[in-house]
Amino acid sequence: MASDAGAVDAAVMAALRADSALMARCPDGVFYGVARPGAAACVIVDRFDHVVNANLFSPAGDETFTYVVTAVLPDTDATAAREAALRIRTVLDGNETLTIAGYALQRPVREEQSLRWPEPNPGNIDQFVQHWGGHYSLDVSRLT
Amino acid sequence: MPATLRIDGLDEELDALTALPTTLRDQAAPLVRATADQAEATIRAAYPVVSGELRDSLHQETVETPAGIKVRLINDAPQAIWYEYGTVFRHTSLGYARGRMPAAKVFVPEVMRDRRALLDDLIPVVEAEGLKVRGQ
Repeated sequence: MASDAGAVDAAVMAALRADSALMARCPDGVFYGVARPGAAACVIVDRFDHVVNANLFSPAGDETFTYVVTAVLPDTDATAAREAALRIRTVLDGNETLTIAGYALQRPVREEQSLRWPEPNPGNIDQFVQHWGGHYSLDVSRLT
Repeated sequence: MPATLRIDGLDEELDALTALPTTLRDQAAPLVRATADQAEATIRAAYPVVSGELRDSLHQETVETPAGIKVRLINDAPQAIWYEYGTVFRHTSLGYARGRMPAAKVFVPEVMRDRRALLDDLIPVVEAEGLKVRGQ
């Protein structure tokens, strides 16, 4: 059975959910792509790139996944978002123990770049959201 | 009796080594520029046109030094980052839902693809100068 790329998504999300310090800052949870309606303080994980690299021995020698992982917090002040982003970095950057069903991690997860942007709502000055996180990449190889 | 070792051509070798960064830059520059142009064209074509600001705000900045060239692709439209990464669910001050903008994922994946292709193109340039590329 071929490995399931969704397992990598799930492993990243599980690692974030398992961090109590991050969940204390983002209590509405970790979501893929889009938060559930009503979730105000959360973490969004979104896969932006997935490339399969062939080598001499296999058409799928290794695979690289790149995720955008951001803390999303409603505030005009970015302090809490910054703290949450630092927790995301603590959990992911350099992580070499991520357990992924059907895959082996080839080298530690790495933060490729930091991301931060505010999101005012032009139609509602009371809704102001901070996004803070980064691009994280994983190199994995299939076990099956 | 004193022994003497004479090596001819060291000055030329040193000159060649000193010039190597500039030589490589000159050979890489067209590839880097072509990659940036390719990325810009693909992203521009993928952007929706409403006011045209998103598309028109896409541009390049080139930094060239004696040892390198860097082309940055930039979109400085205020909505560019929302378009790329999406927005939260929005609501009016009266509480009416206005929905969310999904992440378009146009800019970042395209730049990553083109950067990978550029690396593949640059390896022969470096190797042609006698250098070995490992651990890419």
